Amino acid sequence: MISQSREHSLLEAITADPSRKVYIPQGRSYLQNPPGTTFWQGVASWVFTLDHKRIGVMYLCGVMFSFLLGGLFAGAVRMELWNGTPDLLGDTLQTAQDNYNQMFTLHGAVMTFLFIIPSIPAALGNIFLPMMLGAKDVAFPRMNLASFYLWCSGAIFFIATLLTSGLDTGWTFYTPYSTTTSTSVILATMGVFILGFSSIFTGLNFVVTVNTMRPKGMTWFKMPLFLWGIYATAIIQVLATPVLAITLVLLMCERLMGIGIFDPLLGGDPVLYQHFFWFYSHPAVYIMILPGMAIISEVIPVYSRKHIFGYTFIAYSSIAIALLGFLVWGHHMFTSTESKLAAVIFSALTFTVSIPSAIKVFNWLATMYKGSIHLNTAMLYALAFIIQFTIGGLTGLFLGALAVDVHLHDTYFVVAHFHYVMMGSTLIAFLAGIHHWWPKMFGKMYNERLAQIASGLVFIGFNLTFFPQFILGTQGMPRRYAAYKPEFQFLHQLSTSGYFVLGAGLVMAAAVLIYSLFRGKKAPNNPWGAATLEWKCCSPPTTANFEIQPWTGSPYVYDDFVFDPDEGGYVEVLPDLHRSAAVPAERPAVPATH
Amino acid sequence: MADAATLDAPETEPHGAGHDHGHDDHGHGHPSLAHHFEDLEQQFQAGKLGMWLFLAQEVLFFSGLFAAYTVYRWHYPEVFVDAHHHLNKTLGAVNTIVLLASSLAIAWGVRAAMRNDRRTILNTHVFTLGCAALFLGVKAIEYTHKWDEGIGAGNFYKFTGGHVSADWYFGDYMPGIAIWSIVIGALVCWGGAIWASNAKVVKGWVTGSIGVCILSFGLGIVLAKCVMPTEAELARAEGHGGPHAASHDAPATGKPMPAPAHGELVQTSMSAETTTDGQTAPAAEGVATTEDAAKADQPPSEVVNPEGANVEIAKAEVVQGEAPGGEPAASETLGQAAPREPRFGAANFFSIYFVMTGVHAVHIIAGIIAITWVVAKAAADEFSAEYFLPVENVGLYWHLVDLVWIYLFPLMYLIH
Ligand code: HEM
Ligand SMILES: [Cu+2]
Repeated sequence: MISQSREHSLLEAITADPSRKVYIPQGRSYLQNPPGTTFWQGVASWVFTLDHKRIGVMYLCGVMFSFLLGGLFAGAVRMELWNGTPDLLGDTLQTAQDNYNQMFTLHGAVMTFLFIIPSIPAALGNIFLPMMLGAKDVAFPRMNLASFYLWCSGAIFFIATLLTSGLDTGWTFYTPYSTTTSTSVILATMGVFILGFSSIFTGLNFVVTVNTMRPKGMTWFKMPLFLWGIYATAIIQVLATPVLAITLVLLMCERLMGIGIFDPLLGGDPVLYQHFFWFYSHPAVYIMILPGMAIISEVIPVYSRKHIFGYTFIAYSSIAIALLGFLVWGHHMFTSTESKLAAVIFSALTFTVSIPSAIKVFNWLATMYKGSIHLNTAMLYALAFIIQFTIGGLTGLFLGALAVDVHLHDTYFVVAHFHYVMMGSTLIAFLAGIHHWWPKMFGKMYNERLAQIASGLVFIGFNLTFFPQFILGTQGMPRRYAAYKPEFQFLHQLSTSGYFVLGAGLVMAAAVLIYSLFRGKKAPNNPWGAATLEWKCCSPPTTANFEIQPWTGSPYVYDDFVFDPDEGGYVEVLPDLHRSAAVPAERPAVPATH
Repeated sequence: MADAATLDAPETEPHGAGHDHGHDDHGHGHPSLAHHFEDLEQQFQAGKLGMWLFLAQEVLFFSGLFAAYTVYRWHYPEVFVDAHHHLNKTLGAVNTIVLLASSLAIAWGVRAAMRNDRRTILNTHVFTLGCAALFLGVKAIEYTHKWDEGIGAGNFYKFTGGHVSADWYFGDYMPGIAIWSIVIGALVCWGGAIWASNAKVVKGWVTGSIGVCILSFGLGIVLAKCVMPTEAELARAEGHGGPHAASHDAPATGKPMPAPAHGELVQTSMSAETTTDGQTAPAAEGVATTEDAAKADQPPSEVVNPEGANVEIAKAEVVQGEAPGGEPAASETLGQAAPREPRFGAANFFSIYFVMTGVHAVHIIAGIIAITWVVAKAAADEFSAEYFLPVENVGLYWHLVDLVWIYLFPLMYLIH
């Protein structure tokens, strides 16, 4: 944390000698084309772009669209649940129930595969991973673009699913139902298969980029924690997703040809499907949460103006989560004829995963302790994250406890648990990241006050929607039913009301951000005083990211940053003589021929 | 301001300005160096790590299949032992040797790239292509032979113990395909050679490679046919017609026939047990679970009478209506048009066989495309001792494809 007096002396220093501000050259934004570009050239410059930032922006638009779509399906589900008789989504009981099954399935599938998995890594990660590393691009720009187009084709398959007979298997495609239902399982699984390869490409690219593209001076332990989180995520993406891919191939073959692998009627083993599915999908929940944690690890120190506490612990805990995450898939199958021994082992292993997660939470709290906390929008989301992730993680432990899960499995308790971690944590972290990096991405400042209000609405709305579901679950309300007993109605209605508050908050946040694109103030290079490299270039950056290769200092030392009223943002002040003597030692030697 | 920046940043040259670090000899400005890499060394490391990760991904992709294989072999060892006798060990071994040879050749090619030996890169890669296509030719015979016998994956499994009698066999067309492949392939090769000698080097080599592929595919068919007579020939040699004609039209699971023993190829070992019990036992009990299917390896029933079979189908429909339940508000419109009957047996082995070898064959085809691309680049003389990453990566990929087969061969063909 920076003392008042230090800030004061820095300010004096730059007023006396403006050349002590670290110079950041301005240049043409990566969003713009050179003057004289025709419309079609402009379109082509986006369609064929190899710039990681543009690909990230296209991903951002894509995932936001999917989020909207998934959100509308969720609305249909919640409104149907306003009362206990299935009447809203169809004229007869049967059609209402059928449509209800479709709605929750499409909601889950779209949110998981189209939105949350690519959300942080492929959109924000793509834009910021190379910049935070100090690299010019990811290692394989063409593969990066290919990944985006794979995502698009996956999305097209989903749309085709929607336009044909929909999908009603639940997002997990459990057999044997998925091999017998008449809905478009093949189209949907084909979509997921393709999305899987999109995800693998992204992950592969990131691992290679971090391993081989770190410029001189950027050592592993000078990397911002965001990079550690994305790196751990990328490892899971590469190692877990192919198992899902082959599972879906087998599922498609099962439907097309009856190969008898998963269908019990044909001698197959439906539980094998569950093993395969969760072998991917449990690690996949860490594909979802690790990037979220990674963003929070960036946001908390910046807005607490204090060095992150326990850097190495946070860094290693990401890797530990990634690896342990491969060992616990069986906790989804405690009630699916899993042997008792296996269940006990999986239950015990599940507990170990929570240790690295808790390490992170404690370190964030310790970082904030005695920090000078600025309640900017991003920070508000980060605080909401800590609260909601703690609830989500702890209830995960309840479910991981074998005896408890036997009662809670397939109830609303599970629904509430995973919404606290997926929506209450990952989505909230995504919002934190968007608000934190918005000025850098688009070069515009949004209205802070309105954005804060929106974040408050999101917080209230989210908890109002999902907290009652914990209670519903413990009272025995099973998931995936359109009909329920009257005694559950009050809590369901609370939950549905929460949906509208949450929706209003999200719409407001989006409106504030979009408005800023047109009317927002121009963003300074470094509006929040962050020390990571992406803030050491202009806002928005140029295509080359850095016109001058920045010096890699510690990502969390804010001592040399001071708010400069002339710039309207923070500037880095060149070290005084005393410190500059120390600088050359930290510089890498001019590389000899290697 | 400018020198302020110099103070702060060790590498202050604006982009495009000359580097004074003296690593121009590492390929700065090398035509194959992408703009975002510092030097060729970094590009090489990135490319190679990327390939290894891709291979890790591939291994996990296949591992799902191997896991499924293990589970079913564990549950139903006797089915695997019986059913695998339908695979021709000689052809499996031939293909194994062919792939091993191709792996050796491509490794040699990588070595040649390191030594700037363009000619050897080209020769070894074209040889590898030849092996790959030969492999596919042999597989084509294996697959079509199975198909003609009525052995397909899942629902396409119609094996009845005897030869299928049909008007139309794939096997009848294979000699024609072989001859045409050889003729066309040879012509294309020849065209490529002319081009190559007329200074159209890249076009020539690519055309030549395609020719070699077509040619070796045909040769593979010929080779396989020498080892294994086709189903069509066997059926005709037997000179039959009548009784089996009906069985060919039978529904998916067919009616069990006492298997006539003839030749070493179609063994009786496709025992009636495996084909019939899975069908009869669970349905008879009206329960369709895996355990029941497992229990079902009891006495081989001789012949199931047609009415009995119908009754079973009817029961199976009932079962099916309930089995997939689980979903609360499951719609009732789900039933598929065709009634599904419970079955278990050799069909499951062949499902796994076809899926695994099929996925592997797809990888072979991808490999052929990749290797042809390397040939084109090598013909254009793009590789050198500093830059041979694509050669190395495609080589690694090919080794993996080879390796998968090295596991598939004993697991499928050599079961005890
Ligand atoms: C603190 C660590 C966590 C533990 C111990 C944990 C534990 C569990 C357990 C035992 C279940 C199975 C409940 C049941 O079906 O009976 C479950 C379900 C689930 N968890 Fe977690 N979890 C944790 C974190 C997460 C995270 C971070 C996410 C996602 C971002 C997540 C997403 C899910 C999902 C989606 C399901 C339900 C899947 C379904 O059946 O549709 N969990 N969790
Ligand atoms: Cu899990």
